Amino acid sequence: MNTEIEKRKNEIKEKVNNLFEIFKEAVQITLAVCPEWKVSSANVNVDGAEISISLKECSDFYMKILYNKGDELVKESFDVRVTGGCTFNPLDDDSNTANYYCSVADIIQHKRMLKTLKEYMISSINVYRAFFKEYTSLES
Amino acid sequence: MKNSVETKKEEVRKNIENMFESATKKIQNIISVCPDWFVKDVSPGYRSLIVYLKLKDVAKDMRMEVRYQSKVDGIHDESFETNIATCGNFGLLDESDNLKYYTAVGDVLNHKDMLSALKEIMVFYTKKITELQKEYDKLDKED
Repeated sequence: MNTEIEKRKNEIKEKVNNLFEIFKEAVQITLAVCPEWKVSSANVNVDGAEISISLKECSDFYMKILYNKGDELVKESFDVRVTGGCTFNPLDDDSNTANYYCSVADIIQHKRMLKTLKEYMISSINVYRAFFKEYTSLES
Repeated sequence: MKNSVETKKEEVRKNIENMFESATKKIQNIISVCPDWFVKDVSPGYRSLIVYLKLKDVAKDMRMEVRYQSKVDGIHDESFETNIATCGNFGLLDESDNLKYYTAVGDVLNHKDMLSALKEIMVFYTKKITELQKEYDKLDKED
């Protein structure tokens, strides 16, 4: 009996790891319309999901996309966090900062891609929640 | 003698004002390819010029600054720079001022020809205004 429970728990762990991998790949494919970006990390938890993307040319320049499922107290949100402002030469083709802000503008104008990204985040959270629920019940 | 210096100083002051007015019009004209922005102000610095661009049709005061600094031996190298505000977190699918701001910033940065023209005009007016300021300072010493 205990062995079966442990076996199922291990299966769930494996499925969760696969879910994370699939989620990251799906995000990378969805983001392909904005070729300047690559996915640095993509995490899912029971309340939300967080994607960190950075410029292919310079990984120090990144932005975070956050989805929060919300509850009775907190409203659902799908936000972006752009890194801090600084001074730079807008005519310097090699300026990563100038490229960064151009690439940010590119992403926020791709509304259809963003909707798809949000859907992926929601569906991955739902799958994760189901696994989490099952895992928790096996533990108790 | 003093009266003629005062008259000359008044003329130079007027010329400086006209120069700013002319610079603002020219810059507004150059910026018109990015219709989300208008020129809020053109200000002088020490042998430099700062253009404040303000985003149209938003509740918040959302700006972008473009600064040209001419070379001043031993103090400044020549530079042409911009400064972008920080907006924190904002919704990706909602219509918001922050979203408009970053979209409009991207529009400006993608217009390299416009930025080159803006730099040229800022170089020109920085030089002219600096010359007038020097003339004014000289008259001030004579006064």
